[in-house]
Amino acid sequence: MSSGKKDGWGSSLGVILAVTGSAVGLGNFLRFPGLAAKYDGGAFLIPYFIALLLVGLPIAWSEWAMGRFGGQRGYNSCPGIFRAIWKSRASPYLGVLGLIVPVVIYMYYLWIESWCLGYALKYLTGSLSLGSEKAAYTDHFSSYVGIAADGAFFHQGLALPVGCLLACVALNFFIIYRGLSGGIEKVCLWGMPLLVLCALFVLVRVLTLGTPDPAHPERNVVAGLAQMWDIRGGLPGLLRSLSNAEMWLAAAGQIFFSLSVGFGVVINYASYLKKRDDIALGSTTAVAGNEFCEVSLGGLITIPAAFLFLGAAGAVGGTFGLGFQTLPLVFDRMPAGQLFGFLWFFLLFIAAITSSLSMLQPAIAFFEEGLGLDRRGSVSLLGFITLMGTGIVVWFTKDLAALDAMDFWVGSFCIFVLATVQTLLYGWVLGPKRGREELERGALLPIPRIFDFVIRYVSPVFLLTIFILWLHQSWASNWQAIQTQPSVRIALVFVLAVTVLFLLLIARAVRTWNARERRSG
Amino acid sequence: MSLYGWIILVASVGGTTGFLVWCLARVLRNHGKQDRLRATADLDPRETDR
Repeated sequence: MSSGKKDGWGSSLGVILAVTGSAVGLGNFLRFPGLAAKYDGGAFLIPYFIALLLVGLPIAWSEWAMGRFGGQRGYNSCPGIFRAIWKSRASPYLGVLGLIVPVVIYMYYLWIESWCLGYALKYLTGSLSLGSEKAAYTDHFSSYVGIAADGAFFHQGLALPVGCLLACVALNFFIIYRGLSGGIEKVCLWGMPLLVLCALFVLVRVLTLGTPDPAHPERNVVAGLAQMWDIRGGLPGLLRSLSNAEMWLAAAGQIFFSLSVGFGVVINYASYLKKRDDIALGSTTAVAGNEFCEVSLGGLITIPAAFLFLGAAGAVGGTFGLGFQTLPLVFDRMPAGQLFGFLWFFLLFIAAITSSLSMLQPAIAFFEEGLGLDRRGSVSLLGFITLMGTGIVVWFTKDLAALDAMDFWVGSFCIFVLATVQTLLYGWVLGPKRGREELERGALLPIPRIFDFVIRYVSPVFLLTIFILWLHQSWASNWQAIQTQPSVRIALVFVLAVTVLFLLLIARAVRTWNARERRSG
Repeated sequence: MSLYGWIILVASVGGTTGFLVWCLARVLRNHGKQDRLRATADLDPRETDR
């Protein structure tokens, strides 16, 4: 533990907005609507909300409780918190997942954040009007990120894409250097309302478009909403959709990734809370904020907007396809599209930066309390490690191979493992009795009794089931990528090296903590 | 859009929006109260440096 003055939150609203900002990202506005449109619209929402109740809320509550439990015992990092919960020699080493997950995700997420900033600036300067063919926007995106060959991203010299990346690096580290209340909290207190405001402007624009193309009267606002929300084929269609196991897997995965559970961030943020802060209400409000952005904003904007101008065929796609290729074409055809294009990409940039900031704090906390570094030292060390990782991601850009590899192995695989470890730690080591004491201290919101049963039995089984099904679905292609693509191997060797480095640092931190405990008796 | 679609839309959007408003109202209403409580009840020395 650092001997200096401890960091902390300025207000309960600040920590709620910081956790919400960490969870709200591109997935809320692009991935969720894309999945809903793919899996029969409204039918998707049923497994989605069931997963929210069985996995999302219980794990969020348990993470907040474990975080504050560790914080009250003087630990803010995952290795320290795990050690406080489980008196085992292995526990701090399990906490390495809570460090590498956010740090490695930051390495590639930063790059995606810089695309949002770059696209927002392009709309501001009017240089993203490329005509009415989708191919032009696809080509533009490919050349912007350098998808054609490794190193292509830098062939542009110090042009906008590289400049935006450097600006994002500087901005993230400037804010994180200012600390929790002076940096992250301030950005989220201003950024989150601004994000919602931008989204509301775009939402009003989309819902008042009527029938923008008289040649296609069937492409109207109500039909656009139907594309996202309707249940195709009535009740028999709904039952048919609900029997699709793949849709349940996609819905549970979306809840899981969207709430940032198993990320190592919430447990760290919650460790800075005071003894009598209402973590039950705080965690529930953060979940509610994330769901509002995802369902009420993302669900009403993205697919209806794409449908209005491109029809049903245009209103599908993954995160990058929908966000950086389809929507720019939509804004090109939309009245005042340049303004709304700017607002859209600016809100995505805010969503991205509030998330990327949260990914830095867990490792900073560990460097401070485990190695005794001050803020400047810990920010410099983390800056060096993450810059190397980002360098690998932005050099090996061919087919985004390095980004995809890190996203699969760390941004998905390790998250599942960490979430399962956390759920088992809460349910079986900390135990529902001590966990509930932590959750209920200072709480004005009662947590239902059934939560104890759900977190102990239902959540781990649910998580493991999704994990196995998901692995079965995606293992083969990702394993093949390791065998066939050198850039994937380089990226993963780097991730492995970072993991070993963190394990060595944890060993050193454990020696320090043990010595301190012996001294204090 | 069918009746089922409207029901799902209104329930989902209304539900998530209402849920957030309800939570935020409770956070803001109890914000001052909690701070007052903490001022007298928190005597834990571990918190003195926060």
